[in-house]
Amino acid sequence: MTDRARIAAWISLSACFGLSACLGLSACAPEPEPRATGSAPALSGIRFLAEGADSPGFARAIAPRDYFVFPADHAPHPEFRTEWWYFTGNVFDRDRNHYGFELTIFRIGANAAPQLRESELATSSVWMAHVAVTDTARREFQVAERLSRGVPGIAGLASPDRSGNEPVVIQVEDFSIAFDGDIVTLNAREPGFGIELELGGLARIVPQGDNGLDPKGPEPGNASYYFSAPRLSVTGQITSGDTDAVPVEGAAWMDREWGTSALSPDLAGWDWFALQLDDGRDLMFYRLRRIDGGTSEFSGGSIAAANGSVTRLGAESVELSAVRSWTSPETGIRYPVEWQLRVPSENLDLRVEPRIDHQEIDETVRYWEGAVTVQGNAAAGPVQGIGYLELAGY
Amino acid sequence: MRRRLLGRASWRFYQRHPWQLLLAVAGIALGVAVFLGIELANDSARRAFEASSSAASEQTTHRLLPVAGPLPEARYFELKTDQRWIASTPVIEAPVLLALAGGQRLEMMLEGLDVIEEPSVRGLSGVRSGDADLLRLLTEPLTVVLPQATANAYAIETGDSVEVLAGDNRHEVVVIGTSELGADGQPRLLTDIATAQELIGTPGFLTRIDLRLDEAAAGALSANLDPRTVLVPAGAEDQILGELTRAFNTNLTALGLLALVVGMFLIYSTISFTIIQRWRSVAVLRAIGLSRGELMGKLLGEALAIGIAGTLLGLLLGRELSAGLLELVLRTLDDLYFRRALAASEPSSLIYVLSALLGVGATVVSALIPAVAATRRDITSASRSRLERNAHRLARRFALAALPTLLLAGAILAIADRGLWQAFVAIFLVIVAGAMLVPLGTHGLMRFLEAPAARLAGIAGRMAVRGVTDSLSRTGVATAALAIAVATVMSVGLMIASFRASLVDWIDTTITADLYIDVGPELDSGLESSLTAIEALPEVVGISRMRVARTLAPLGSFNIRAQAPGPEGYGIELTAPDDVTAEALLDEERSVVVSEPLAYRLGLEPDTALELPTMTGIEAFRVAGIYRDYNTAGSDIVIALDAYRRHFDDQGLSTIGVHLAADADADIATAAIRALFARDRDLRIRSTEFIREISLVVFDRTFQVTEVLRLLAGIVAFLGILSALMALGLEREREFAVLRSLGMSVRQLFVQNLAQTGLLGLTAGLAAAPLGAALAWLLVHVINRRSFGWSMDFIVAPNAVLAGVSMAVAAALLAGIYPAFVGARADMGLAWRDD
Repeated sequence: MTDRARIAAWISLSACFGLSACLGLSACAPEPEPRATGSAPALSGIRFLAEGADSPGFARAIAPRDYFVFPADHAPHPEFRTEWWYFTGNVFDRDRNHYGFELTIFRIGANAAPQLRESELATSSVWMAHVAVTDTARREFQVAERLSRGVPGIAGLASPDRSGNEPVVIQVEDFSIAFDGDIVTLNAREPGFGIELELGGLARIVPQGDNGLDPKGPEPGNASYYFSAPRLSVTGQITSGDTDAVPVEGAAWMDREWGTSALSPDLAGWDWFALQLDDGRDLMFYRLRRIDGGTSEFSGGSIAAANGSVTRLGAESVELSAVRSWTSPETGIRYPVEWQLRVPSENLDLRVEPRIDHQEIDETVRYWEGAVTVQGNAAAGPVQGIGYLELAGY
Repeated sequence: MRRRLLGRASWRFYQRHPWQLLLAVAGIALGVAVFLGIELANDSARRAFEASSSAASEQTTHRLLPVAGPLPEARYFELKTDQRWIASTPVIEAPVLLALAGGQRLEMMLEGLDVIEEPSVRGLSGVRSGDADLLRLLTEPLTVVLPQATANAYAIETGDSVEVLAGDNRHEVVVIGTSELGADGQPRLLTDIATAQELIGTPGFLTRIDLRLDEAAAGALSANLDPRTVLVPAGAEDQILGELTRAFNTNLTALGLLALVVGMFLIYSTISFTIIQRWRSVAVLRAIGLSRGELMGKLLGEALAIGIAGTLLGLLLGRELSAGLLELVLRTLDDLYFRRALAASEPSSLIYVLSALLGVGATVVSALIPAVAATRRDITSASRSRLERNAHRLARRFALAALPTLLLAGAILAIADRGLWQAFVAIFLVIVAGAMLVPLGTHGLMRFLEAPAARLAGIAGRMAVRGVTDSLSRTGVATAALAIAVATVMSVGLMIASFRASLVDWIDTTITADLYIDVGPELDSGLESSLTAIEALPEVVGISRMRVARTLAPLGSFNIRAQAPGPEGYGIELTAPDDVTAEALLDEERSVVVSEPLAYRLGLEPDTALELPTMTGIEAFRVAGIYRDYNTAGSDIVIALDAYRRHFDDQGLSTIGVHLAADADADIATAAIRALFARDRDLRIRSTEFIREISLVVFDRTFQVTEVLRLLAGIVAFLGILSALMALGLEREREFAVLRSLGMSVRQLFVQNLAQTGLLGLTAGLAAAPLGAALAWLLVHVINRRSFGWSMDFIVAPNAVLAGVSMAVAAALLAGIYPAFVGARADMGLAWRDD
């Protein structure tokens, strides 16, 4: 009920925002539409950006970055229209029970150069956060959302000092992400589930695209700045299924992206893979899926080796085929949840399987984001791994 | 064959007496129409009202309010960062003026909200998402959403600019969309919460925070609350309004039922006439072998047919009537509670069924008694004299039964000492008792009048008086019906007159100052020095200060009126205790006086305790007294301003009363005050006359619906009387013929006949006077008290009584004209034809 109501508000928001096509609001058509698959090819995912044409005044990602600057680049970049902090991870408790978690915060700017206003509640951005916990042993998936106006103290940079001192805390109401040196602290609790995690190893950053400039279309500026921290160590507590918090350990992936880009109208959505292999390599690949089923040339990714070397993956360098689909009982949407992923140039042939099928997020925006296992072969022999898969626009 | 015969007999009768048929049908139709009209209007108003209340608190479970003054927004920030009470949304409500392009100004409630939080807490009802660009509302400064109706009425389009005035603050805002009525049914100017702060110049402050909490979270929040805030259940206010509305609706329903009861009496008299008139044909039918059952079936079938026809017509009429009544009912609700119900919704179709059943049922039941009497009759001796003897005996029995009926009414009132419905049952019993007394009363009065009438008009006078007595079997019921109708009309009139007189008294007591200045936020700074300057004006003898603040105490929501009295005191009339003044009571520490309606609702008496949310938490105050208050929402307590400031941390003022010297000119004083404030336009100064005038206008409007119902009941009564007297006149055609042949002139007969109906009317009027006064007393002291908690002085306004009696006489005379005319021209041959 609450979510429906929130969605209703979001529809209104998005209708004027011009975001409906890019922020994945096919879930939120004004009427509770029948959620048949194969309906209008509006994108239903969140990793890509707003329509550039609608964004006067916002800065564009044009030049590659020689380097990212911290802690400044942990903080919001309000001169760009859209931005997110994306954490996914796989952790285990003492009994080796697996949990997946996701904590994401999105910022959507409405005004590049907001006027100075008298009211402290005045805002020029909307913030959204999702927390999800996959409890593999209990086969449970729990998710919660926060949606708020961007106002210091409620949502956004918790400290008003943007470039300044650590920790840099990004919050949406009671959910927060705090960057302090090499450590990130994630905090998000709902009745019955939640995470309190400390992530280490933030020093190892992998710029994506062309030195952090990741093009989303042929036009200059239709791109975003994008970097990942592909292998963060995790310690902390997870609560799931109304039990007490259990201590967990594991590995996480961080994606940071901001920009003022647009998706071309021929795209239906995307499939995003973030895989951590036991040979020390981290693979990220996103396939931009065209409405006709083909793969956009702007798809791409990277393989980061433990020694720090990064191999860029173009649209052509990865072969993807869906092996198995799962239909959501709630929304009726069919998601291809199991994949065969091949990178011939790296001799990689991987089977990506979900920990559990039901990892669909059906909140203001609707997508599938879930913990996966990886098994397959590399040049050196069998390889295993863990990771996260995101399916949007189905 | 028999059935056809019977049918034809009925048909022929009514063919010869078309007016009788028409009046019978019309009487039923009107009775049904009034009942249906009221019920339909009532039901759809109630639904509208409920919808508007529930829309406001569909999801909101609690409200966080400041104990006094505005709520710092820091409270909101605290809530938002704790998962337990994150479902909260900030709200600002403030009256503003909308300055339109042609110089027009509209008063409107500004509502600042957060479009993102709102849906999860309250539901964004009413905002047309398609029309209003809510993201612009959220992020663009000076954007508003206008009520659709306002936009239509003043031809404002999306993209237009309007000016918003709030105290000293003037802002040009852009209309970016339109909305339906607000969450509570009021037309509102919607803006983002930040824009609202900027428009009314209160950055950092909110009016309240709406929350959606479960019990545990509410408990935890209450325990963690800043002492300057109070958490109250969201339904508290709506519940109070709901009770008042229910009381109002009950009143209307009762009036509707009253119309139907009056209608039933009239139907009874009409139907019994049609049966008595066919005395002979009934006897003949019995003589040719018709069984009692068959005859009974015929008479009841006839009544059923008339009942159905009348009811159908009544349903159509009632539907039309309801539209007009609804407007009045809604407006009354609006006036009473300062909130506009949502557009009326479709009433329940059950009401049609109920009205139809009542209409047809009442007709058949009314026909049952005379039908039984007619079929029981001895067919050989269809003796009128025996019938009349019976009637006289019946009259005495009825009169004897009246006493226990009255006692029962008294017992009901005593046992159910707060129930509204029980009070109406008692009132109906009193009416019935009154009706029971009428026939014997008629008899007595006529005896008393016989001698003077004879002295005055000789034999014609005596005959007129005797005529009434001798036809008591029919005149008794007609008179009773007329008496009830008149008493009803009279009682409502008396009640309104009492109320109005009490209101005028009350206004005079309450309004002690000569001028009232509304204090807006713009006057806050340096107000005290301005007040000193006002006091120094030569025209001014003193000033009084008042602060009105809404509070939500544990027992419910009400206004705290904190007063520093002027030279004439508080202007409070205590109803209890009666041996002290409000001034003495309010001087005591921690004492308040409570308005009568509030005291009634909460069951507060002098020397009980009332808990109030003060700046240091909930604290108990002594209820020192109860005072009379006709303020519509009627939920005020009065406290001394000093005490208020100590306990509630609110230094503001709402109204300044300026008391002028006896010989001072109010206009000069007003101009001087305006000059002192260096402000011409925005300073609202109201004169006492203005306030009095407005109060009475509102009062009269409030009672407009009651007046309409009164008029309708009167029309029903008149129709009934008309049909009864016409039947009586027609029945006496032969008697007239005899009188004519005995030498009475047409004119004499006409006058005698008219005198007789006039006497009937007079009897009814005289019977109605005490009954009406008794009913009015009950309305004033029982119904109004139980509905609204108001007490008032009961005044028997001679005008209302006189008007009632004259109405009865006039109705009777008017109704008697045609029968008198017909009777006077009676065919003399009739006298000899049969006998």
